[in-house]
Amino acid sequence: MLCQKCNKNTATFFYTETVNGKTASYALCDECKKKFIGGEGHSAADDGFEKLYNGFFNDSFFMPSLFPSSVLFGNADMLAKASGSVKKCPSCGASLYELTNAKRGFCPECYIAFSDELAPYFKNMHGSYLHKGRRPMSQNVTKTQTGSDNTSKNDNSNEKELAELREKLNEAIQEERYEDAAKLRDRIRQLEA
Amino acid sequence: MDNRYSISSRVRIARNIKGFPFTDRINEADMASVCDIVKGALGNEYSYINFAALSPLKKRAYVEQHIVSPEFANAKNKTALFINSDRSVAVMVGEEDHIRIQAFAEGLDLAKALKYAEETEDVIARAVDFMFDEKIGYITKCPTNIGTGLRASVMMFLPATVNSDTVSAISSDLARNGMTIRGVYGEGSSSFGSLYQISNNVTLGLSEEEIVERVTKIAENLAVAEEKNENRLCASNPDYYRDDCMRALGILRSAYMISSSEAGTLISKVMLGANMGYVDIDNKNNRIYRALESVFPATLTETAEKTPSNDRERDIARAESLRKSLA
Repeated sequence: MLCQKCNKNTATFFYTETVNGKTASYALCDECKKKFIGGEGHSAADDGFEKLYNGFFNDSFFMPSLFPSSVLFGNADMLAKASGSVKKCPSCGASLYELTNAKRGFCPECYIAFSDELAPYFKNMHGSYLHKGRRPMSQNVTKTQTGSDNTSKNDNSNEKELAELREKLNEAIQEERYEDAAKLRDRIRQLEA
Repeated sequence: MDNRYSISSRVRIARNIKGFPFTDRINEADMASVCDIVKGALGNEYSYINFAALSPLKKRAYVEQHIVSPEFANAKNKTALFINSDRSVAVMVGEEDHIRIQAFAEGLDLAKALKYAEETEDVIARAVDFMFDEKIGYITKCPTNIGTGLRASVMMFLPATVNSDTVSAISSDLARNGMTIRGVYGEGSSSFGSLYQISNNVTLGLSEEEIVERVTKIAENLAVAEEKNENRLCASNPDYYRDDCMRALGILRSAYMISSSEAGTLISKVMLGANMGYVDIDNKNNRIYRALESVFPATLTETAEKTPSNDRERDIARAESLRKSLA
């Protein structure tokens, strides 16, 4: 079997991980293994499993294979590249690639600017991309914004529909129905606009 | 509750204040404002420590006691620390996130630690707006903490379960459940004193209660396994383990000089022997472990009556402290 990364050498390192019920396998040659995971004699036990484990998340190489039909992530990025305008965070100028490959740290606005694009990244990292749990006590929280408060009292029916759509989007991604997910995402954007 | 294997529980909540950049891009004036805002919010119930102004030794002593993280002690920005009167809650301002609330509880009691941390969060939240997004929850500097910003961890004594042969299997098992195990002291597979920390990796998509429940469940399972493994291990050669434990206690009770690594190894043997009933020593509130915690270099130097000035004097002071606390 050839190395999945360079497609030249024979793969000697095989790794399968199951994160939150999702299994992904990788096959790498010696060189690519060294490059992407670490030097020789680097076993999980030697070096702290966490390092190895997190390494997979931070590495761009593994992202496409985890999202084989990544409409939400890959296409957006490719389209942006093709049209010559890579989307940047309006506040700090970071691109999605830089953020998800640990080339640059997030600024508060990055999370908002790449809200949709980051969904699969969070899904990969946390098994979900929708918050559950505590919320600020004050009611002046508005969705996906950090500055202006102009949408703080949106009408309730919109809010309700948005919540349902987000739930559906979550399901669609979980079931890997990416075409549906893209449609739902567009509808959410429309409502949010 | 059986706390022989779970020494302490800790919950950490990460929060950032709306309107300020993250700590990597914040200027001095803004960072000082953040410290002041939290100081104003917490009021007099928490004692304020101008952490940035402390000596490196004092900072290290706080790290050794697990009250602050090593990152906090090394932070370049202005940092402030707030501790409540019974030391169950510590608030770090100026770590990776603007605010990191840590709450502690004895033994396995994450629910209690969570309650403490959330009460403190509510106090701060009355004075500030945290960065929050409807979809991804509380916004943190690192995406690994996004959502709840919650890290729940349990410090466990696992001498018979976790060793260099089993740590990798246990790690991947835990990773599948969104958890991590790491040595409390030292790196990688071998942990000084057989002390390990179990904590959640996943912070988004689960509620605080769900995270705490999951980590608790894992800690309970590990405690059951550890009890079985200790019984099996000691049954394989009871005379040897009894002798090992009694000798260890003998050294700790009578040595004139002792290094921290030797102390760690011996304390671990005594803890195992106490669990097995080989020695008659009161281990209430993990007294044996606490004896170890108070003899780390910086803590010892900080607390000794006569400040030790070199390794030899420290080893003498350490042995003296252990003789007293394990008498």
